[in-house]
Amino acid sequence: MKRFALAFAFALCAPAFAAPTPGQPAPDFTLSDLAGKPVKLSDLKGKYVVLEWVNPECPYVQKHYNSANMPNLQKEYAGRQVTWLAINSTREGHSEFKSPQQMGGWLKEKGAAPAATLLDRDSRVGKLYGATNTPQMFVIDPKGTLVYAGAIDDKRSTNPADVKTAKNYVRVALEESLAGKPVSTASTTPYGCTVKY
Amino acid sequence: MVFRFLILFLFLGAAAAAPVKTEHVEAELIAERSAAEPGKTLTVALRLKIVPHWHTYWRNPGDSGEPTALEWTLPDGWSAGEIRWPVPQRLPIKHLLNFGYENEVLHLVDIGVPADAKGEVTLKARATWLVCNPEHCIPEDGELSLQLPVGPGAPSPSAGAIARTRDALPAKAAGLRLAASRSEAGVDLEVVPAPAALVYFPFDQGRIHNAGAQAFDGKLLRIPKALQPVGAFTRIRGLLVMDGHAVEIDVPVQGGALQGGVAGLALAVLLAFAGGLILNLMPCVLPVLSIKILGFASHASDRRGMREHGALYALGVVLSFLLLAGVLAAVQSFGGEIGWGFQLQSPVFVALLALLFLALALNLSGVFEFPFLVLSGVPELGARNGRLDALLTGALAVVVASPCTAPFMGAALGYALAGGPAEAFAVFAALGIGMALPYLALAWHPGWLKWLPKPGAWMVRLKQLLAVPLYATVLWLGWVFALQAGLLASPSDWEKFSLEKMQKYEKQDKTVFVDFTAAWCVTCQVNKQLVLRQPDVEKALRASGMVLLRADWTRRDEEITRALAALGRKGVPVYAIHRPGREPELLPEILTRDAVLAALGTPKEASK
Repeated sequence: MKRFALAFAFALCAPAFAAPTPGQPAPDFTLSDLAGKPVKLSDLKGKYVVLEWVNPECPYVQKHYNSANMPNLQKEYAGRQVTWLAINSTREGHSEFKSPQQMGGWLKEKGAAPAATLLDRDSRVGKLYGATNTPQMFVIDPKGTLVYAGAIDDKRSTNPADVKTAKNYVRVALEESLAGKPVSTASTTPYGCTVKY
Repeated sequence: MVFRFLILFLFLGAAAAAPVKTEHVEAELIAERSAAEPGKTLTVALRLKIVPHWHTYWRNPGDSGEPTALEWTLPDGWSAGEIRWPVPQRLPIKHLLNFGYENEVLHLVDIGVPADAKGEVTLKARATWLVCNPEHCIPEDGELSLQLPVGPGAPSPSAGAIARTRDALPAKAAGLRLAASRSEAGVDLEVVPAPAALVYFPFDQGRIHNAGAQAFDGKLLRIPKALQPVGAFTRIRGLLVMDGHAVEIDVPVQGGALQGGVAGLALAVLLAFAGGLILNLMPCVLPVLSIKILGFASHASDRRGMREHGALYALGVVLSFLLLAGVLAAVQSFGGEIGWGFQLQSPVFVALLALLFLALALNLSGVFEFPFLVLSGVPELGARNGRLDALLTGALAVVVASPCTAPFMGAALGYALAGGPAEAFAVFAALGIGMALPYLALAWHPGWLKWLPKPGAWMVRLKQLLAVPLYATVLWLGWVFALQAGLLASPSDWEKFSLEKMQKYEKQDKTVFVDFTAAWCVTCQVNKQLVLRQPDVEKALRASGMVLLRADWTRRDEEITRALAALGRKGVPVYAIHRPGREPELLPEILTRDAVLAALGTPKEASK
């Protein structure tokens, strides 16, 4: 009875605050890319997927784009069959919201190359993943299981020079996963700006 | 601006600083006094005046953000302490929450002024802060400096503001009894005496659900755990803000193998009883007791006297353990951090113990006869001191047993000390009964020793033989004493443990192996020699890439006591592996090569 009540209570809370943790299945979603084409996560089963929460207005995001850290990662792993999805959950109506044209222009200027950039206009997917920060990273394995959630790296700053000496958690998680090993650091505390809900 | 500053400087001839103005913040270094007095501590502050609706961040910024930081450039010999953070505000942004400051905040820092300072000084600091409103975040920084004459000085115009900030800083949690236990939803924190209102601010990120409601029912504060937890929630570290003041707390979260409740107590009592039995076989106890027991056979005819003697001995043992429990409970109730084996952390006690063992050993070797008690055999019936003698023998047994924390005792003692006084007395009584039982049983039934040969020359030789472990104990206690007195440096290639290091490595997501040990802990030394120092184990430890920390508890050390408490233990040895994002793994108290290698996951690696 108690367990049933708990399950019921959880079910009630779930839509607002389902926050998957590593080891759990990555919740499915469908969002439109900048061209308006829908992208469905479950269609990518069988591939490694990286979810990157992005906001061009955030100084912490700028750190990783101005230093070319994020674009380089996107390109490097695209060549290794990893599907990179950049998600902007800035609410439509927020002063930092970017239209598909603005978003595309910014990505081009930074030399970014995610497989797709998705606009989460009502922040629904951000909440679904419990995303709190930009940047915030998730790595999903071919079975659809979340294997990493957290920060991009361990230097919690806006200083682009820190990128060189930082331990990049996403790189470590991808390398370990691609080698068939368990991810040694599966969750970290993300750092950055608040997702503009 | 510069001109105004120069005028001000000329007129006052005292503290001078240049504020840095950014778009959202005016930052300035201010000092409590008009001059820096040699050999004293000067409190300075980074004052941030923040434009309305924007905020900067606390040491734990919450769901996003970054703490304000100071990087000092000081003349040789001058030092700067850490920022002393004022109590932050809870700053909700939609369903998220930050911890920070609005309007104006003073970050106090203690500057150590060298005794030979003279002339004047310029304190320089680079301040970096993130300033945000609900819409945007801007990283800002400023090169700040504060010029001061060196000398006695007087309170500066900022003295009042700095004093007010200092008075409102979180205090140490004195006079509060705190207990934290794991629950389905997070952690329940019990605070006695209960305040009217209570809010918890965590030092660590990723432990609690920042924006979640903290329900306080007048007894328990229910703290919800993080939705996406990072690291193990084994301690409640942070601030408790209640009834207008704040205290800093660091409480272990109970919820290990020995949970509270009747079942937990029963198990702890059982473990303590078994541990007590095993104490009899430890090298520090066995020689002393075996001589006494051998004497039983020759007195088998006087059954009544023997039984009385055995009962008094048992009473002596149990009373001594209860006395220990009382001391531990008393020290704890006064807020002291204390653990099993605490008496051995005192060099004086160790020296006295060494002398006692030396006397016992000399006595066994026949160098001299004790004028009183203990080893003179079973007391004559009706002798005036016979009863006292039996009681004191029991007490002595407890004293000599103290270096040997037997296996199984760690968990039971941890439980006893974490619980209330009632639990502590129950567990220590069980320990005493366990230890006294074999002696009591043999005193009751001396016939069980009939198989022994008649007393004779062989007993003298046995005594001499049994003196050997006692001499070894003397040597060992001498070594412990030398380490405690700083006469010897503890040889070790392991890093020295500190809580700061633990946090550092935790942040770096490193795996950390902590060896909680003490020179006076026999089991620890045995484990070290037979397992940790074995070449294959040493190689595996190196290959594992783990950070190896040794927490040496030979002397009293509050940090180590707290670290042990976090693992639910109150004694050594404890071997803990902290992996990032996981609950710490505890290895068995009696280490085996296989257990360590399995925990390191090396057999597979080695075969590659």
